Amino acid sequence: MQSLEERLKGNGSFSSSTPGLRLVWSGSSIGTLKKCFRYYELSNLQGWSLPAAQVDLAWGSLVHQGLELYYKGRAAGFDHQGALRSVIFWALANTWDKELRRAQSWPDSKKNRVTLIRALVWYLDQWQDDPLRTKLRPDGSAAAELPFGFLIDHRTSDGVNYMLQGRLDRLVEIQGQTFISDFKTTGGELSERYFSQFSPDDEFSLYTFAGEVAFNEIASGIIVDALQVGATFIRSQRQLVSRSRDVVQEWYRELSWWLDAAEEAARRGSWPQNQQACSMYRGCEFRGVCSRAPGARQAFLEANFIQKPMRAGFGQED
Amino acid sequence: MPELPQSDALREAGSGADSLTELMSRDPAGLSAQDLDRLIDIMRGQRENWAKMEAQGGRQKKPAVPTASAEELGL
Repeated sequence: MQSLEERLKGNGSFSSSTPGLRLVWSGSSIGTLKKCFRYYELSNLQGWSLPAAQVDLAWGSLVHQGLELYYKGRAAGFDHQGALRSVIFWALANTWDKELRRAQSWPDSKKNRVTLIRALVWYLDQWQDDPLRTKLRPDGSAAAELPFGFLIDHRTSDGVNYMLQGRLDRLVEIQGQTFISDFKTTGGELSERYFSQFSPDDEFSLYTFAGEVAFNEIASGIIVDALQVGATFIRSQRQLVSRSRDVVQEWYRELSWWLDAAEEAARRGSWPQNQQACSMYRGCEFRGVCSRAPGARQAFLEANFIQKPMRAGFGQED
Repeated sequence: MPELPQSDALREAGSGADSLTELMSRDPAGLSAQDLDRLIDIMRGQRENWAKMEAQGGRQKKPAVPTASAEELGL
């Protein structure tokens, strides 16, 4: 078994003096930490996930990349059909196994090659006359899939500044106001309950904060484009999630408390369970791990989960 | 006995699924712009069928004109 020190060796996102102390944080890693320190240790530091989560991640990433290609194509002057055709070709080519000369096999009824093509066509057709106009960057390219990273004032006890990083899906404009557009996919219903999960939410607070710090854009809110994915259908719904500056400032102030707590946990080499979170979020996937005796957990993890390799440095999503 | 009104649509959906299977199983490098447009049109047909079914309030029922799932297509 690889130790945490070996796993994180040479990774610029982590402190070289305190093993396990993350210096570069994303909305996802902050949210994971706040949910449960043990969950953060297992999923983020050690990289364990259920095989199905890997499929969700890969499928969602392909949809995001397809949309980015579409928005960039439209900004470059392609009409809807031309841009869509390019996206579909790209999606087919990226899910084709060249060695086996056959379509990649996706072991999921909702997240597979057919539903990927369906999602792109249905969603992009629905919003081909989108009232949200993608903003243009100074170089004329579409403001889509925008990576950001910036240092913040808060520091480790060794005096190293923390960094926040992430990626905005799209900066859009409507009626003279700027919004951050964020695309989500889910297998569940697009209910009020679904949309309520974004207020409060670390990722969206970070995005609003980053809009101003990294892109000099004061966003009036985040427009969530949610896509419900079924085996035979796609349903899309759009909703505005507001984030006032006061709320974002409060989030940023409180972030320093969590970063200090993470440093303390890393120094102790101990990431405690938050047992009140085990039943939340449709039940924690690591419940079966934490409910076992400490000595039996590693074998259970290895038998039921996949361990992702650690990706190093800034620009790598965590 | 008169033919059920949905049978034409089912036949169309069936042929669409066959074309979809054929197009999706081909090496994308060999697909022409027309092939890609045909694939897009099949997906648009599925969307129309789904929208009709939703409009009829059949959200909880099996669609009268099914859109093919990957499993049904053997993909």
